Amino acid sequence: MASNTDACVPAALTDFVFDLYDSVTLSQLTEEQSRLYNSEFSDLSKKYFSNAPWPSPQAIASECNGDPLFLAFYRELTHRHWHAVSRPTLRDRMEGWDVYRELFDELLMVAEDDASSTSQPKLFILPQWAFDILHEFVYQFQGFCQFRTTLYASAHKHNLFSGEPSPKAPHHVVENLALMRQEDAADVWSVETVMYYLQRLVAIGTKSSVPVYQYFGIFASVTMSRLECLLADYTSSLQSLAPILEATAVVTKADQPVMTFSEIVSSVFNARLSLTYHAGISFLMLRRYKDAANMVGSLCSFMQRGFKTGQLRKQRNSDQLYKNYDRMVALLAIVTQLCPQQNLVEEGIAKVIREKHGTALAKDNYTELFTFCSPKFVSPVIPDFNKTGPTENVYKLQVNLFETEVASQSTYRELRSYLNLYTSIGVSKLTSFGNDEKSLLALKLKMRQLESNNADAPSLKDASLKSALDIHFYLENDEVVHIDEAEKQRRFENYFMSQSAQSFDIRKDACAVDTTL
Amino acid sequence: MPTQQEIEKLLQKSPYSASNQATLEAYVDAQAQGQAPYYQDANRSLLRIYQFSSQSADPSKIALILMLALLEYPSTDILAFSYLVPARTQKVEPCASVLKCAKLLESCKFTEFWPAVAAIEGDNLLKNLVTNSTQKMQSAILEVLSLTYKSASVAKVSEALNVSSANAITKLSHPNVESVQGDKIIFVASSENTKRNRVFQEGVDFGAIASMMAKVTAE
Repeated sequence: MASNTDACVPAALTDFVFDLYDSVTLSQLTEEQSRLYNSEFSDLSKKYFSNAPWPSPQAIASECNGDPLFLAFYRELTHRHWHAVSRPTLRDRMEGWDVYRELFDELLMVAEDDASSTSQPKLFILPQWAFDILHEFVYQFQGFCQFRTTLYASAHKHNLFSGEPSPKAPHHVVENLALMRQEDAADVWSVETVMYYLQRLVAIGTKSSVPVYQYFGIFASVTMSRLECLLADYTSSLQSLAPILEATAVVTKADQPVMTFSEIVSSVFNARLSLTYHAGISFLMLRRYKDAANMVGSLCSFMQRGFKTGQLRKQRNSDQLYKNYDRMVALLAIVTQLCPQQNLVEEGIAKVIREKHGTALAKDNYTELFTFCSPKFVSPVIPDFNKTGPTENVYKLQVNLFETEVASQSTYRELRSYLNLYTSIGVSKLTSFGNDEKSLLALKLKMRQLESNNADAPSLKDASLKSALDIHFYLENDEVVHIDEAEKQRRFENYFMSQSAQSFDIRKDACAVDTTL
Repeated sequence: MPTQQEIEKLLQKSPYSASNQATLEAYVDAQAQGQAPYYQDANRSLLRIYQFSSQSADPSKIALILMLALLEYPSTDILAFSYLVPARTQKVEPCASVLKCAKLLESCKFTEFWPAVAAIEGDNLLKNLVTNSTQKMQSAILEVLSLTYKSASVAKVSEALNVSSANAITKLSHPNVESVQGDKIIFVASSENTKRNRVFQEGVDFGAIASMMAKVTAE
């Protein structure tokens, strides 16, 4: 599709496209591509296209010899920019589907050719770029699902499915409904196809030894985990991370150090954030509170330090980082309340939780915290736009189920506070305080949770049942409750190790400073 | 009837393909009839297929899947599945009754659980599954009781298991039941139902020391 900006393409732009094409196909230099992708593209966008689309692929095709794969990458990059600076219409959203289909079809075709060839790979894309593509792919899928559900509800509200539509029906609703009724609209952003592309990329990435396909495979796993979480399949969300966490393969590129799959994820901060946040939500929903706290707590501590030192403020999307940090702190507030243990999160984070969410926690207001920290769940169902039918509010369902899950928490908290006062107490006395013997069993049962055996790597498989309670109790002759403290784990060694490592790094940096006058 | 190996292959190839629906439904039936082992991934895949195409969803199969997950008590399978079942399906029978039973089990309200599970209405497969799973449910409840009780009265345990005598409890031959002494059931001692000594887990992970030493020696 030609745009108004096609008529006169600035020279700076053609040079940029030429250099980018060279870095993707011929030179394949990481630093060069990083400069072009991370700096020059945003500079040019600000200068020429702050509220206009970039020229169409046809307008710059001569700069890349009409290479269809590069043109597909260019189309995605410029579409992503337009999607961010404009208010996308239904047509834009539908065009987005074409953009990603074209790109992934081309990419998968070239990947298959590359796999059977021994010569230099045909393509190199930065890890950051590969992640941005896949992240945006799922973001646009999520946006389309929300748009589709809202449109269906609006059409229903204005009687557009009946013989007598409301004359007050907004024009854009009528127009969008007509678009969605077209035959080819039925498969646009269908969840099966979205998943198919991600699964194919994971499959190719885990088998290949070519960096670019490995990057796509790794980040397809991260985005698949996000997608599964948005669709409320928390088990699959965690399972999707297996290709990264259980991988033994490494990524080898001539101008970069050898890295494991986990290190590649850590090298792209937004990918690490996405992985951690969605795994945290999944652990919370699957009642694995300690794993959720371990996962999210360590990243929050890192981000807290990063904001203080200014390291994270330099990132191009620092506003978004603050937002995500706040959501993760709210998630930790829930987890630390449900699983009150010492040292579950670092003191600095515990302080932030108290300051930001102390009031909500005092009132056991989990709903407020959950609605703030949870992602915008979506329904993958494509409604029939020719007739009325039931609409499913997936978001509300998740909130309701979470409310049910935590409904007994205030009872458990009260019971726990009584148990903390005694080393043994008669069941009758406990009952006279308003507690229930069944609650003792239920508390113990609910807090007996799966916990990853390796706290650094969340896993569904490598986990065992452990108590997440900070007290231990048992009943004798169903008359007396005996209480003692739970197994304690001193954390001094971790603190000592991290401080030693930090001091070592500071010393190393200090030694590297040139002090010659 | 599909075998578990066939199902595994199917799931590896395309877990949520609509073409798997009939095979996965047949496998759910086989699990309900006791002809195939419980397979969480297969059942979850079928729920996902229903999630993607709600018009093809079969509420009786959803109820069977939830009941099979309930029988895995005290695992959290039913919790994970409940997020995938639409609210309107959860509200109508037979899913509503199965979920109510799950809630009672989770709150350890065993006395209320038995009449609720007996009242589950549904097709013959579901009814037979409920009838044939009494012993499995009793075993699971005994396991949960043994987490908290070191010893308990026969009357209390009998009530929780919906049995009338100590003999019926002994007949279950549950590995967590040590003996019946008079009017008491003695559970096998475990770290959960006995006093714990104060244990301090200490020690520095070897990997952490090794990587630090490697860094220092590399200097």
